[in-house]
Amino acid sequence: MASSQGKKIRSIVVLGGGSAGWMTAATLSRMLKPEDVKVTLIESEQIGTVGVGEATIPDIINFNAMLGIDEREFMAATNATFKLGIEFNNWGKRGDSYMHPFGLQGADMMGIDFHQFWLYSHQQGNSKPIWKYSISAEAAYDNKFVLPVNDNRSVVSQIRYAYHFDATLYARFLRKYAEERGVVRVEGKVVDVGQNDQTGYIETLKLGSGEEIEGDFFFDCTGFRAMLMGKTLGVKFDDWGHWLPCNAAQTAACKDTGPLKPYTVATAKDAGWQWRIPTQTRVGNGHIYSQNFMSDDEAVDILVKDMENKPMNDPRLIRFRTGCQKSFWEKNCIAVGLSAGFLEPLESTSLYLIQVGISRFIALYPDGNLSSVVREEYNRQIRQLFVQVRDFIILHYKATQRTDTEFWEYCRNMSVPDSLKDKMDLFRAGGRVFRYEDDLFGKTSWIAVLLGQNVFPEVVDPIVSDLPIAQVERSLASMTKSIGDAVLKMPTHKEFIGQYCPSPMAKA
Amino acid sequence: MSAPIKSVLVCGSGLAYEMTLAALSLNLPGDIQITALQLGGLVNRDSFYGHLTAPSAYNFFLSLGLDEPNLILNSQTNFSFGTAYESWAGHLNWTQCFHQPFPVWDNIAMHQYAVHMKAPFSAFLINSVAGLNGRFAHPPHDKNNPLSRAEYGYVFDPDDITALLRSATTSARLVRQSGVFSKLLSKNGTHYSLELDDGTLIETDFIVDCSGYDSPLSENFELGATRIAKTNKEAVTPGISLKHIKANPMGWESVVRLQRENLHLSVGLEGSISDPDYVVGIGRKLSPWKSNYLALGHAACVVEPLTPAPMMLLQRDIERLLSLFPVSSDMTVEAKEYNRLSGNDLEHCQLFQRSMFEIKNAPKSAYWNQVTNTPAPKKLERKIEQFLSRGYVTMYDLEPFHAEDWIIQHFGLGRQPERYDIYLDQLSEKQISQRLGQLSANINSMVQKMPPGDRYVQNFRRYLEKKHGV
Repeated sequence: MASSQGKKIRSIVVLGGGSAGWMTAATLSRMLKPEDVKVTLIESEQIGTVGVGEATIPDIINFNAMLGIDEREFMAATNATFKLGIEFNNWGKRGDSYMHPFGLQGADMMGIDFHQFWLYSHQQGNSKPIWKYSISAEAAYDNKFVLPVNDNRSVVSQIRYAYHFDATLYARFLRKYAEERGVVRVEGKVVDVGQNDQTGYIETLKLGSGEEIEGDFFFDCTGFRAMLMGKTLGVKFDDWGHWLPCNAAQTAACKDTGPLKPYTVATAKDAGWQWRIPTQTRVGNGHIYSQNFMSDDEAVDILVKDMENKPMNDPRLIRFRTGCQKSFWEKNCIAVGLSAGFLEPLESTSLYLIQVGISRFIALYPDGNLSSVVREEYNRQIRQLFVQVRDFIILHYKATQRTDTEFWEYCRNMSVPDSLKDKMDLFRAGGRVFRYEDDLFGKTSWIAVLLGQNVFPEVVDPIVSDLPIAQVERSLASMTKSIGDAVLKMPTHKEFIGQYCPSPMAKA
Repeated sequence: MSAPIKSVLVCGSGLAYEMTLAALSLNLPGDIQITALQLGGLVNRDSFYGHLTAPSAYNFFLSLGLDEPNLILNSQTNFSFGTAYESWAGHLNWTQCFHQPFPVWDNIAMHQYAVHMKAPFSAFLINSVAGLNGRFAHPPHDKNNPLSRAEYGYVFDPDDITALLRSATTSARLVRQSGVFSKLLSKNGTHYSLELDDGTLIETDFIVDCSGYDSPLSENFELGATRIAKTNKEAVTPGISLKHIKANPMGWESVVRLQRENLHLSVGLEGSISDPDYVVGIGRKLSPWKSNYLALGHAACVVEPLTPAPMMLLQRDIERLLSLFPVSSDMTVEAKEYNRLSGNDLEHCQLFQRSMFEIKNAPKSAYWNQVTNTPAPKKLERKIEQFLSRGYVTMYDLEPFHAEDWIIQHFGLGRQPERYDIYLDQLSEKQISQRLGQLSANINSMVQKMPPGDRYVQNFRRYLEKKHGV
């Protein structure tokens, strides 16, 4: 029989509420028994949270499933809607529009990627964009939705989806979940951090009330402040602002008076871009921009002008620095969420980065000795994830043909990381996409953005271009027909939500 | 835009040469001319591909036009559950079997249960148990059957496969020639023609060199070490369904059981084997694809065939060539990506092989001294550290060897994690013990029902002969 694990972690303290704090606490409460490990979350009503990531990617479904959360209950409680992809407007050129859908675009044939067949057909005059071969995109543009079926013969099985929801309500939902499972919430503001004189390990957090909270391990979920990771432990920040120049956002919500769209909209502006995220009760809007190229007042004007209804609140300014910590796990502390780093939510990855930050900790769950071996592996994995997401987001800025503003001129001409440059070169040469292992964004995603922003390969796969065009057109036509037939039978997104998971707040 | 590729010249001989020709003939567009130039005067070192494939070879052979019935009926190829290492470092014995992902119970990987119980891991691997008992059967689809998690590769005679591919690869646009290489004619760094010693010129847009590690077409690569090798065949031994490798102070010996013969390979330092068949250098070209020249197989790298790594690398390089086959005379982008991926694969295979020498109390022999005279790479250190710490398997970018391979190897080399997965504490000792006990009982029960490997292949062959009317 193996010996026990030796010294064990007996208490974990999560500093900060919000999405990051409560996702962390909820996961810990799911994975650890309260009699073995005490989990305490400290948050202050006085400190606001940044409502990041109202839009998500499909991996959030796995996270909720891991917690054992019922989808309907969660959606109703968070005003959630379904999301089938993101529509990008004005990114390649002004007036351009494309969809980055979840799930497949077309079906590979003869062992060759679908996009090669589409490219060949496009060369021969097919004007249908590639997302016409995605059921998620077609359903999205028709404002339709159904859940995927578990039958590979049906095209409906190819639907992949995520959610739009109110992040504050999600945090509240998870708070209830975590507290029911033994997490202790402490109201208060941390005024001092006690560290071990010799090791520098965090030992206590002193609250304004004088109360001291002890812990063996700490999670820094304090957002941009990075109170433990930055201020206490002095971890340096890796600034990626030269690749992703936006550094501020103005956000406001408004009423949704149109059809309920099952997709996010990201519209490029003069010095950044604007999002539109529909929930059951409102539309979240945000204008992300670079203060080096645009004033805050101009940014607010643009935000409000592009909203479909009057703002329900005064636009709120959020300043940020793009990049990540040099180390995500330092001594006995892990940074999760905005305190770990920030990448603008262009591909809705904010909550995913939180999710992975927690799940990798769970996978590497340490004993009380907190071996550096485990810490280094955690840092390697999280950094790799940040870099992969970073490259994919930079692609949207770099792959532009816009010359109409200084900002876009800068983006078009900026140097990019070698890892991204190689991928773009490879695609331009022959339409090939090589993904790296554990790349969050797969081939379909890269192709959607590259083609959507007019990055076309010089040559189509020679095997495909050897085929009779009529044969290729027949295959493509049969795909659009089966997709069209399936979408026709779907209920509208609004109907589906109304029947499946209506929010009491929406009814009111 | 640069001109499209209209012709490719494949030169060399042997396994890599015929595999490349088969792959290109079946996959390239019809308007690309393929010239096969069989070069004379090359030493056959194909036994250094190691006589054992990984399970992925099933699909790879299919893509070359060789299905399993063809392999079994028309060559001596046989099935293998993996490799049994004997007296490794003088004292270690384990079976490096091919295995699908291990079971996960209560969200905890099976190997963590074994760590907790300090139980011998091989008892929970059905193809290890079956292999050591000389049993074989095709893994069924039924997920409830413990054999469904087993995988198998092929043991083969490279000359056999070469001949089979040569007879099967017939295409109107494939022109076969033979000759002795004289020189490459180049302009601005691009080779436009190859000249034979009789003055014949073969023009081409793209050259694939499969002529081995001492290729006459390019400079030899930097060598890490040299080995001598010798193969011999003997009467078949019944009851072997694994490749066997036995270490000795100067190298190692392997034996695989083909259908009608046993095939031996002895590898060692110079002077360790009498009358060796050949000398070979271990090493690699840093950039196998340069301009319009691509070195493939042993012309690109030579890895000691201690594992299926040499065949994995050959297979991956051919698959990579197909997916990156140049679309125009400017091949810079394709070459860069090919070299990146090929370099990664080689590095990761080398990690797996190098790991086999990271042993406490390793022998002080000349062979072991040579192999361990440089420190283990950082990536390997991390892998070993992580496993020893808590049985965690660190994986890098698309490694050819899977997490299961690494776990089996770690245990086989006597690496015992200090701690088990902490989530096991949520289960009782009885639950943990029952899980493993049940798996082991199921495996033993199944293995009893499996036929001896030699009888299985004979019956399978009879069935195929009847089905195909042979």
